[in-house]
Amino acid sequence: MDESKEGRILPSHDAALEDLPILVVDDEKVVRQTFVECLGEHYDCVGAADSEEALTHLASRQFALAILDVQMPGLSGIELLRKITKDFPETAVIMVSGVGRAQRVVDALRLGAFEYLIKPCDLDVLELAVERALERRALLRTSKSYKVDLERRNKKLERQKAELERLQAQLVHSEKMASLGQLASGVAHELNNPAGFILSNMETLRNYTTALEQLLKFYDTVSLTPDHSIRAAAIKEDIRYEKLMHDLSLLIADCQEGASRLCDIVKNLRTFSRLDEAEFKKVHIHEGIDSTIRLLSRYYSSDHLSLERQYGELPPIDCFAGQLNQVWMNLLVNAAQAIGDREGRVKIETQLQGETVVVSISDTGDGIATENLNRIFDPFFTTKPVGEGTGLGLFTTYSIVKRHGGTISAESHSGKGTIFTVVLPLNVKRETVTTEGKR
Amino acid sequence: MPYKIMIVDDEPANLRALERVFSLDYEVITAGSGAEALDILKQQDIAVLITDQRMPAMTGIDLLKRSVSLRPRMVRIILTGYSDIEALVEAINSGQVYKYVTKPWSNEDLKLLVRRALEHYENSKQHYELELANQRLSQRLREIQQLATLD
Repeated sequence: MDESKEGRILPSHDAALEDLPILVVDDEKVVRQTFVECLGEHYDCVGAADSEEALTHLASRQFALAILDVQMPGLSGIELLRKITKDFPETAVIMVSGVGRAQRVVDALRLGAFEYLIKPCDLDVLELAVERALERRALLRTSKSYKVDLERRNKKLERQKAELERLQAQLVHSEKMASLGQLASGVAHELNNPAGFILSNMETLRNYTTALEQLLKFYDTVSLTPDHSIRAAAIKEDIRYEKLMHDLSLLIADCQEGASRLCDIVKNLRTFSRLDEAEFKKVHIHEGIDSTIRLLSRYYSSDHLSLERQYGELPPIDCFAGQLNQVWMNLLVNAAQAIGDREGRVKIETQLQGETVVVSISDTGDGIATENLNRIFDPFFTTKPVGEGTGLGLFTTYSIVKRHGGTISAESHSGKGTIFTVVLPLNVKRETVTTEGKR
Repeated sequence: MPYKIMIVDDEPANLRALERVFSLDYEVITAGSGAEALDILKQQDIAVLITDQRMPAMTGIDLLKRSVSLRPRMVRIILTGYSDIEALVEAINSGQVYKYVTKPWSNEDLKLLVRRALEHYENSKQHYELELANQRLSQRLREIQQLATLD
């Protein structure tokens, strides 16, 4: 569709169109000539003795109107009408016939004839019919171009609507992420202090209890008076001493585990809200991915999980190397966990695409359920069992990629695995990275 | 005589937690604010100062800066919840901070860090004492030389 014409609503009554000739088809020379002469006063008129001649004319130039005799040797007027409405829809048709059979009139009109005249016809009637046919043709053309134009505008509006909806969704998403970022940094700040002293105190508590246990064990070896011995045994039974001593260390271990998990959450939230910023420099992505894989040998050195690396030629890129490594870490852990204990394959593919680096990490795991796919980057969303995932991994990943001016997307088919694609610009200005997402 | 370590934090639970970490090995003095810490520094010789960065009124960095004139050889460590990079970089570069530790900390790492800090403290103290001795000796030497020329 020619965009420059977009603004035009109506095709004006084109002078050129109005001047199109009229074709008179009749095997009777007298009738033909009378018609041509009569109409020739106002219109450019061409005559044809039969359908074949008419078709030759029609093929060579455009006609506004064709006046057809119904009964002609060779191809009949009705058949010619059929051909014209099919092949030359721009040309209006008036049928002329000597015999006024009602059915034939109806047929002709149904086939698309504008008027039906009965011979011998008054020339005034003919002129009127021609005038009306041309008017009707013009109206039809106008309404048709209206329709085309409206359809085009509708399509354009639909496109714009879709684009607006996409932008709105994007806005809502980034707005959501921004407010979550604020929340996250607030939470991180508030959690940090208590997390710090809980973790520290749990260690101290373990030392204290070990010390007390030592003392108690010594007391157990001391021989007591029979009276004291009985009382000690009673107390021990009362407080379920053995169980308590056994449980004490478990209890502390659980608390320590909880505290360190709390610290992990805080750490992730801090990364998200950019509280920690290591050095911004040019690094080779492959080195980061490889060292991450080495760190993940727990997953990636097992026999059932094969790892395929398809590295393209990449120049070093500007980034916070530590943070990007966290991206690879999160994606690679997820990929390995998606496969679990079964046979499977994780594939890392990198390539240079214009001014960007594209890294895709795919697995042959279970895939992500469609209803979850648009929530995976939300904070605290996890499908992993309690204790295994904080629900912050992909959230953090998303925010890091975003901070580098990149994009991350996931595609998944249930039962067929998942592919994460990270696109990072080759050259990110440090300023952009630091100011973007600043609270 | 154990080394004196001072811990400064506006959060009492933090103070107690850190005190527990160090009280077995060192004499631990705690302060709830920068002002209180400066008062104590005027009276006592402290080997290592560990302070929280974010405190109402005086920040940790401010405290460390102001402590330099009071106790020049004391080792200064800052404990931060946030890594307030700009403030930290300046403080570290100007030599006012020995190390910075992020919260949540690990007791073992912190203990090790303080042991190192004390070695550092001991070294710089010895260095300072040697310098003083050197000055004294140089002074004496000059006096002797003067006496010799008088003879």
